[in-house]
Amino acid sequence: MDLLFMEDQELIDLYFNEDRKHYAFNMIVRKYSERLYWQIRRVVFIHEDSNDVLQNTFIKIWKGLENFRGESNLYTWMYRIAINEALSFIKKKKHHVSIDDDAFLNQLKEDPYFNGDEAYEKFLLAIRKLPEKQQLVFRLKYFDELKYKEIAELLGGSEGSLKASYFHAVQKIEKELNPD
Amino acid sequence: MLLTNQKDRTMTKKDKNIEHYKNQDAFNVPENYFEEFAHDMQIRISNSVNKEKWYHKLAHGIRPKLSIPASFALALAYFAFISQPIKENKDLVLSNNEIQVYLLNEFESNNDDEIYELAIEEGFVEEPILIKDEDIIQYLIEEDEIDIQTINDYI
Repeated sequence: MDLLFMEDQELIDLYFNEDRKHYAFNMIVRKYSERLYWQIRRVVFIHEDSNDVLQNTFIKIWKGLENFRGESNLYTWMYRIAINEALSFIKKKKHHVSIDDDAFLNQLKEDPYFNGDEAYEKFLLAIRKLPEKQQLVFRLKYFDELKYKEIAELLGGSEGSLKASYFHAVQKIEKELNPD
Repeated sequence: MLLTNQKDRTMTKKDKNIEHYKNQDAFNVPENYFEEFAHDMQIRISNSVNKEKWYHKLAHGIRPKLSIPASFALALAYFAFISQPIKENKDLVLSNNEIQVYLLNEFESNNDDEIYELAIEEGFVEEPILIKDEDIIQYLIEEDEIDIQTINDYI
């Protein structure tokens, strides 16, 4: 049986078997690390930073799984941890080093794992200027193409407010890219 | 952020439509990154678990040795501070002045007469015996045999 396709509940049950704990957690990492990485990367943008945040995320997941009650599904719970870690990382970084637009663009250019053109850099800069919640809604809708119902499960809020949030985000980004 | 002519050459009309960016593959990762990540996490978690086990063993070993002196210290603290008899405080009677200050603060009145009436109502002060002028005059006439004309002249 391909363990990567084990159902979440099976993985959690395996985790609570003391002898299989590490094995189950390893399966969870293999199953979800790529998906969580890309969520983090779209917040943090730089690969090295994303790697650090992803590791911290899984450390928190490891510590928190003991108390996971299944009130949300496993991925939703892990996604929230990942996004909180990514946003905390950005806040800490801003606290230590003031990142203006030029500095941000320089960071992107210096990242060997970013190969977007100048237009794409400006696009990312425009996203970065959005309010926090709007950024998250935009990324989930635009890049991941999730339905509003799915976004509501991850972020909370009504579908109507999420639609409005996405609409405003798109308007702001297009205005930023086309100020004339 | 203004777009100059130079930047306009980079930013085409197509670029300004955000749908254009949707399928661009601008981000990538090192080769075998996710496979190695899972392996690295496994090692990191194992190391953190071993560290915790070491700490717990140490704490578990020290705990009984610390418990005896800790118990002794607690017992000493109890007999030294907690089990002392409570001293009676005999200075609990308030003076009239203290009562007045209390009433001034509590009842928001600067009128001494109101405060005094309130103090009587509350039982802090005994109600005075009221003597009318007529009673005094009557007393003087009866006891001291002073006639009414003399009293009126005096008043």
